[in-house]
Amino acid sequence: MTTSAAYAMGYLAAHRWRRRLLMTREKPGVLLAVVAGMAASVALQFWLLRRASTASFPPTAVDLVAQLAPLLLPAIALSATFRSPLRLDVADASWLLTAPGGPRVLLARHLFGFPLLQAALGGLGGVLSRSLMSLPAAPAWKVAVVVGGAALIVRVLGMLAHLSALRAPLLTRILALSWAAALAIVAVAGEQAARLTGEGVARRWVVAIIDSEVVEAGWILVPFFAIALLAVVVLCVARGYIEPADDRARQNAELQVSTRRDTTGLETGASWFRSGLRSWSGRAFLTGERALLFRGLAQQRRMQRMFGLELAVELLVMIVLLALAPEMAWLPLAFVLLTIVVTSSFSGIAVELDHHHVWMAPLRPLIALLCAIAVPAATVAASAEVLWFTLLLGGSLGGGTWLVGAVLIPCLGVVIFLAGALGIAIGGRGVLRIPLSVAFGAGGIAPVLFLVFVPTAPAVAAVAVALAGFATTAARVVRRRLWSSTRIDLGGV
Amino acid sequence: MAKTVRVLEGGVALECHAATKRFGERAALCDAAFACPLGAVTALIGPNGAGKSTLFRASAGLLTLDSGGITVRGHRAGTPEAQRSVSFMPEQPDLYPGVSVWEHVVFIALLYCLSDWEPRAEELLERFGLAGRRDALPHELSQGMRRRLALVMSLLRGADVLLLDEPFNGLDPRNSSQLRALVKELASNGAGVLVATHILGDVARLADRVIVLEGGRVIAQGTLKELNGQAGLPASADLESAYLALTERRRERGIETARTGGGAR
Repeated sequence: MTTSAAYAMGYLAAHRWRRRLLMTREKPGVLLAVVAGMAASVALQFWLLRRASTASFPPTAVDLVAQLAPLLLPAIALSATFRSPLRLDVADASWLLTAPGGPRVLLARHLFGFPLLQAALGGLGGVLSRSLMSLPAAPAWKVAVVVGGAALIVRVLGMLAHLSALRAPLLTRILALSWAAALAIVAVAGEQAARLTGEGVARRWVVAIIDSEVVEAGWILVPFFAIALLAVVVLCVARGYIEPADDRARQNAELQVSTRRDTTGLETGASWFRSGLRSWSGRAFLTGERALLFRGLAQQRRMQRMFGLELAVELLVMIVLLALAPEMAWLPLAFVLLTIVVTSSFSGIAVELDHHHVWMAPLRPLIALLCAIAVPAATVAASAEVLWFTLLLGGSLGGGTWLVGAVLIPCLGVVIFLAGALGIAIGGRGVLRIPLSVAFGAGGIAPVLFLVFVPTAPAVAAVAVALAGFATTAARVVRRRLWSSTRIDLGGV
Repeated sequence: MAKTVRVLEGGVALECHAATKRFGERAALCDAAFACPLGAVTALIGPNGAGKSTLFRASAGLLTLDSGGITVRGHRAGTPEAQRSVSFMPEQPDLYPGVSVWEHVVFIALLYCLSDWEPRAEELLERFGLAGRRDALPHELSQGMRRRLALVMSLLRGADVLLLDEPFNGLDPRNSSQLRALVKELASNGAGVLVATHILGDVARLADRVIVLEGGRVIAQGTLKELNGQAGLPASADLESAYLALTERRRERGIETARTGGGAR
């Protein structure tokens, strides 16, 4: 019976993956995330390997993450007691969960599916980074096991916490949670103490992963098999996750609501928009192309919560880095710019691709383009200016360099979103627009960065000419491809 | 099928000449030819995937045809002159997340530089039951409300030619009735309204003319009486019978053509 359920789930999963792959043509975000994840994995491992070759690990971000990561585990356990970590589709709940052997198969998919994917990506990243360093690829299996094992820990912990929420009395749960929290705090404190003597567990783990010596394999394999064993125990009690009949009916109804798909995209990130604000009325000067400014501002004022939170996190990371590793304090700023470059083909004018009124109204293309990118560019510039100013306060920048950068940052925002528009105009609605936008964005940023580090008068003139040329060319191409009669198709079947 | 288009009295709102559009291997429109008069409601009916939405998007200038042409009040679709005359409501309301109901209305008024629009906007919101939800965001509205908002946005412009793609989907009987009344009122004031739908009951109560589209081709067009004649049914037969007879005959002809090794027409 379990075999039938496994076969049915495999069949559904194969079709789901096929559909996801096909969807990347329309919604390239998934592909983008995978590529970004892979690139980050390769970059991180490459960086670690280089550190390993110099035989020293400074107290940098890796140690910091390794120390703070255990604190995430109680948070995961706590959230799993309130909400099921099983991410079920309606079809799963209706058919697989009620099939004989279905709960076990579903649980196996949930426990091992994501870790296997992570292990594959991590392992591939390990092979690539070692190839870049001309090292033998063989020890890359350790990375795969560690990454997969870490994902498995999160899954197993979540499922155990959820089972306790379903079956154990409240007091037992509180006791278990408080013990887990205490254990995590002890682990973090122990790690901190051990790090002072140079024998921290996190450090040993990093060395064990990237070191070519197989001697340290026990450090990886023993914990991994312990977690895998725990996962098997969870699988054995799979039926425990089925609610009593009356609860199940109620939860199925809730499940249907929570898994209801909205194809309009209006639900995406909807919780970030602040509700209940009084609507803005139009101003006479915001007519025509400037209506896009009105729309952008109306939307942006409801996103202040997300904007503030993002900026606070970036600022916090920058302050921590300024205190611990000042030479890496620029990372949050680079992250902001990189994120905007990568996502520029989804924002700015890209938002209007699915909104027909903009393409039907009698607008002047160049002004409409500038109005469409003005609000996102200003938002990015505001974040970047705050981070840039923090670098100045932290003593990482000279006054002259800071001033040049502060003047150039708004230009940078416009250039990045123009590059995104250019990517769309040439690459169309498909996935091609992403690499094109990134390439154009990098091409636009390079001269600006040059100016930050070589702030001479000839350089200023050269960069001004280069940026003006880029902006003019981009605007002309965008106009021809999006607003003329030979434009790309702006709608599907 | 003959590609000639009958000239209609009272001016032509929209005219389609041998319009063809392919998406890869699939032909969404294939030599489609018809005309819609001003001052009348024309219904475009056909099964899912018949090419109704493609035809609307091409008429609104959002898609370029592979061959053939569409004119809106005598101007080629997509040109500024044509865009001035046409208003389009897509099947999926394309609303902005994080922008309220009233701000959507204001956005349209500002975008098209409308004058004295506020009383009309208030009236439309009142008529479609959205006056009390002015500050609501799209994700806080039901599907029907979102559709009504998209309708208000399309109607606010007061264009001569109105393209409504599946406007009755998700509307309750009261709102359907109000929309039918409004569409008739617009047509009686001289606008040309083209409505794509597969709810035949609404078509029978609303449309002056009907165009039947299947596989991207126009297989029949005319008044209900004329459709019954083309289907070989008595003049008193209802639209559903005419539609079924016409599409069935078309399928039989297709099977016959395939059997004799003929073309795909």
